[in-house]
Amino acid sequence: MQEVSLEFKGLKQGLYAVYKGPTNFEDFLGALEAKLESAGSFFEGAYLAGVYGIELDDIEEDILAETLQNRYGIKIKRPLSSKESPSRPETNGDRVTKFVYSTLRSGQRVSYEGNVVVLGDVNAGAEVEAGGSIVVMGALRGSARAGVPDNHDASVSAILLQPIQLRIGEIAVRWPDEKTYSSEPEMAYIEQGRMYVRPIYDRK
Amino acid sequence: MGEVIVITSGKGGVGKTTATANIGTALAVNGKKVVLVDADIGLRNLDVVMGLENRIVYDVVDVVEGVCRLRQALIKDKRYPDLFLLPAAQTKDKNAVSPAQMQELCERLKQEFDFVLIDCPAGIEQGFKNAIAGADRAIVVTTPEISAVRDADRIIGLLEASELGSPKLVVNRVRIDMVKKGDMMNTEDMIDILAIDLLGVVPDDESIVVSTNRGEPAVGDNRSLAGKAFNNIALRILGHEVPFLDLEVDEGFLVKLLKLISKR
Repeated sequence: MQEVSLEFKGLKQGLYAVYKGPTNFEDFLGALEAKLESAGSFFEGAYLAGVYGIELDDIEEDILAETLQNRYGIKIKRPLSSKESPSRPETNGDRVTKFVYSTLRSGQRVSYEGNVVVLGDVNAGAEVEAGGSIVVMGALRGSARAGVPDNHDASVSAILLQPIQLRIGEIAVRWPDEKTYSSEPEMAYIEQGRMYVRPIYDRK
Repeated sequence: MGEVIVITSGKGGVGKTTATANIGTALAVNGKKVVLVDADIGLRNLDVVMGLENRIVYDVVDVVEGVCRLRQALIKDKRYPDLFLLPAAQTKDKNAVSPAQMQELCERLKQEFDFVLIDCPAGIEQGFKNAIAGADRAIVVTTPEISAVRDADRIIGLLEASELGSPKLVVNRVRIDMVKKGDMMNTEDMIDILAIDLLGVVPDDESIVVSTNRGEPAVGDNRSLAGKAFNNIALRILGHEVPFLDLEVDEGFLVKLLKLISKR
């Protein structure tokens, strides 16, 4: 069975529904309604500007517009844009951030779909996972995975960047044993499919 | 009202039992009424280290099951008037008692004793949960090895989750000669990772092996450097400010003489 997922991205033009799943209208509408139901009245008054992952014809757009307007109070832009990708839908700025106000010790784990900021250390044996970026205001000695599942715009920064293993998106690296400790905070990021580490002040 | 202190580590073999026996004895020497509770049910050996094995009649499981009265199970150490031991059962396992029962037991012991020291088993399972259930404070023992420090970190996390915050650290079996050569983690590195207060540093000492085999805590031996370190830990628990031991190894007569001459 194909996995069905639907996420909203908020951009300047309005909401964008990013859909992954079988490309028939019923499945899409089902996923959309399920998402809206679970959000309560959160999206009331919103404006849907585009849909990605499925092409809708005029009749389907009519049904969609009516359903959204009547049941959820959401207006849609006609015609819905679907071709061009919204300007960087995965940028970290759009994500919500979770703050962890303590050191993560061995065996402790934090996982969040947005960004994660740890105000403390991440010790060896602890794990941090984020859909966006990870910032550790201390030593990162455990393992970190940013940009889950495949966001290459994500980064991992720490005052002392010394993880056992680091992953951004699907790119994983083992930390080189011989890497000397930097006295400056460092950031790991992806550029053209490769991971780089630089002092945070140097990046671009 | 006394205080219940659990001595724990996560990893096995780092010296929890030795630390319990010696800190407890040192507290008793300093005039406190102390009971040592062996929570390592099924693998007891605090009684062996204390040299009290042959006097066990009842054990901690008998007490919580109501087979005997608490007083009957407590073994009085004849060498130290205020030191008692509550031994673990050897023929049962960790599930023989529950955290609630341990908590109740600690409450009762607290009424009578100034200090209740609990020797925690290795691991993070039932035995650990039992041992920390009634504790007011925790002492985490580690050795200067990466694996022991990792486990200590895990244990501190679990203690914090059980609201046994700010445990104190004892670093056991330090060899200052190896630390100086950079072959062993130094205490600062460990404090840096674990981020808890240091309670004491105990040197690696052959006299511990001898005293353990004889069943006589090393704090009773004036020549034992480790014994001295444990005694200092007990004093710090009592609120005294004691400077950390100078763990310099004895360099021998000739080296000392040379140093003396070169100073002139």
